[in-house]
Amino acid sequence: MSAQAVDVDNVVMQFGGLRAVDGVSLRVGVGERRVLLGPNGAGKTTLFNMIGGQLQPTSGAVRLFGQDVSRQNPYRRAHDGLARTFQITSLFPDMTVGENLHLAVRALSASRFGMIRPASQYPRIAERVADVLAEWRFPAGADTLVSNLSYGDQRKLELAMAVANRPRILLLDEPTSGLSATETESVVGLIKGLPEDVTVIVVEHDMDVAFAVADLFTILHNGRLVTTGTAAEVQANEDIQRIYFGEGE
Amino acid sequence: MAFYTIQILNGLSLAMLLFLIASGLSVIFGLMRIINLAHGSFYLLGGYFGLSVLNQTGNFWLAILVAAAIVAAIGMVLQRVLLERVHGNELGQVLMSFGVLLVISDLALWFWGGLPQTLDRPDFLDGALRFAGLFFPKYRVALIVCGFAVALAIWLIIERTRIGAVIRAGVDDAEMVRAIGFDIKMVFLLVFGAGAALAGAAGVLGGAMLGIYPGADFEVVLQAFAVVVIGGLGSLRGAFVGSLLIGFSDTIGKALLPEFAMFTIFVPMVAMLVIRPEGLFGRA
Amino acid sequence: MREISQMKPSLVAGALAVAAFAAAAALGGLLSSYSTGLLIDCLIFSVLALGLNLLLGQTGLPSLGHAAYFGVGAYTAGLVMLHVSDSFWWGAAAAIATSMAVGAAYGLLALRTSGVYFLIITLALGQITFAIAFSWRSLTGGDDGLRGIGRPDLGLPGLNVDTTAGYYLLALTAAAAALLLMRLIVRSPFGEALRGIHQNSDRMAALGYNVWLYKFLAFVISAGFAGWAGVIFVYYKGFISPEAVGIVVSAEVTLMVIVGGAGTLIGPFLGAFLVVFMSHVVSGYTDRWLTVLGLLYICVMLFAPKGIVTLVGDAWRARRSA
Repeated sequence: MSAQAVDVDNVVMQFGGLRAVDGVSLRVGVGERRVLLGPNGAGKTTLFNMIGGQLQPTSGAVRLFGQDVSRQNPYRRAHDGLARTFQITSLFPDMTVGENLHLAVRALSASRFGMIRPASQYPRIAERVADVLAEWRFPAGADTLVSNLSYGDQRKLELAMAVANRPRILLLDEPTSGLSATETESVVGLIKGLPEDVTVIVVEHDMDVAFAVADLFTILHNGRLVTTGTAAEVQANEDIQRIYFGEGE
Repeated sequence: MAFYTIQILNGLSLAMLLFLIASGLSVIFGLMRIINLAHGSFYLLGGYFGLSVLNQTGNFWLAILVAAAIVAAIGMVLQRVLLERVHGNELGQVLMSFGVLLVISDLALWFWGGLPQTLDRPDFLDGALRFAGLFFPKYRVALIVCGFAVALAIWLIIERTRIGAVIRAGVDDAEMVRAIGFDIKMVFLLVFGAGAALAGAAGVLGGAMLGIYPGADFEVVLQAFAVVVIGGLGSLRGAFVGSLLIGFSDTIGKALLPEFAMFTIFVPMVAMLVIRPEGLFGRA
Repeated sequence: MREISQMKPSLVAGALAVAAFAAAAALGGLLSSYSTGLLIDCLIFSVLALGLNLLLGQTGLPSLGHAAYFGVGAYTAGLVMLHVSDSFWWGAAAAIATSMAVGAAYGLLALRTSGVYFLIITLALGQITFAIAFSWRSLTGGDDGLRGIGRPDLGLPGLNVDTTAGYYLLALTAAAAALLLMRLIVRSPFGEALRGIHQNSDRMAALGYNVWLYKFLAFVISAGFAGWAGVIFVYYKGFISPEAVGIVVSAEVTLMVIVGGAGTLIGPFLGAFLVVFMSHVVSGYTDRWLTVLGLLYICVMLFAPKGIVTLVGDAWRARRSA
């Protein structure tokens, strides 16, 4: 049996008296597109943080491509091919778009500890940054300070930085939150346009987006995994209707 | 035997003096997140104002009262006019309060001179008690009793009164206290004033035991910081236990290993920060 | 000849830098020995502030014990001069290596903490160093310090550092070398990563940067610069005492970095020149220098917490866009 891209094995995350994640197991195959669903406080972001390494599970294990990374730092996981975006936009606000991308592209290059040659004089990195800029097109220009960028473009940059190093696993935490309909559509297009062997896990509230980008859906509720199924199964399941879509709707 | 008894007494009295200073420092940090190096200036000013009052009136109790009142007023002005403006900027607070410390110590030097001075104790606290063949200096015994009484009083205020409940809630979450309609700025001001008053009173009490001299401000605030770091920033219980630990380690360290006298404060402080930065009773 | 505007900006900057250096060097021959000495003081503290700036301004780590590495460098260079060799290069190499070693040891401890605890632990480590300088009499001379340290031999014919003017050239060259090296570092990928860590360390870690290692290296390099400043200091003054290691110096260097403009290259120089000049001028008029210095701390935090360079830069941009 080939190893799963992401194998979350019975993880628990305890914050003081609160169990944010309570014994969740999740296996996502190579190249699979998975959406995590669940109401606020279901433990989706906490689970993401354990996969990304921002949090270490209280118990249980996280494996990437069969390798146990439960106690590994986030930066080591990045070198293993994992990239992510954050729910709350997480950029370098006092740097330009180009500088943000430079930092992203250089993160996995050997030159990241270089201390003598100016950062701007690494042709291969500059080339890759130019490629990403051409592909993603920021109308404000590469020299715009990120803090002066529109919210939609900040979300886009967040995504561009995550894919800049061609990750094997991509975690996207609410990539379309706060975006307009057109912007959401373009983000959906970008996710669908990712190479087929990239494993993508998305936390998403917008059901249209969720159904557009993924085939399998995992529902979390109160820190536990409720079920995993296809769009039809999710829509048919009454428990899920009650938990997630709410009785009021 | 006599050696150890006297060391324990010295350690305890130093601990109680430290507690008077560190308790305010710690609660102020817990509530307002202010790192206030000028807390040492409150001690220094308390000692010098007490000295002046004592020289004029000869009344030790009046000296404590006046010193505490003046220092409390200075502290409140400082909080309102200066420290509040750099709220949230930790390095800014440290450097600003260091500036205040420099100004006050320089002005105190100008006004009261550079020679160490001792405050006269009340007559009935001069001399020593004899008990079981050992001598106990009365003043130190009184200071220990006084320290325990103050600790108990602060504990009662914080645990049993309405204002205490607001302070406890504010340490947990200042925004919440504001949200439920308390004038949190007034609470900040009162707590800052109370902390300053305690440090000012400590200046008088300490001045009668150790003397008051230029540089006492910085010495004392560093010791108090060691106490607060060891006990846990923001914890009153931590300040009490930390005072005992630093009081004893300093006294006994200096007695047994005088050549390492300068390390008795900072080595335990660094060790605690490395092993458990949040201190014994602080929250992570 | 081509117009200046047609030349590459880097060439213009380079030519200006050389011209500025030449002008500064010529100044040493024109000024009185007192004024030249003042400039040497300024340059020494500029280098120290430049080193601290790598931590404080670039990486966002507020070290409050930087005088420790300055002192370690000065004591080491002094000890080499007194007991081993009068060669400048041996003294400097030993001093920088020792400062960086102490920086590494302290960095390991200090980087276990963050935020306000980092401030407190660096302050405490600085005071421990002060206590060592004070207590280890057989090595450091205790509170008397090390005295009778002569001027070093540079092994360079034609440069006599026994005169103040000659030493000024050495100090100027040392500061220029430090500035050039620091310029390389902050513009390199390493320096860019430090800025990234300052702005968003979580994102840096998620991107694949070993944030801890960057901070540690910045800590050690910063200590090396402080040691270099200590070398220039001790050979100039001829003595070193525990005072130079204590919190008063540490706080003053922090003030220099902030008043000049943390995170800029020229800010630390501006800050150091401002504070050193002020102390000389004010001390000439009144005994209350400490009061003035304290007020300077307070005013800077109130009115220019981002420093002169940033203040001027903002005003410049505001005028241009208006």
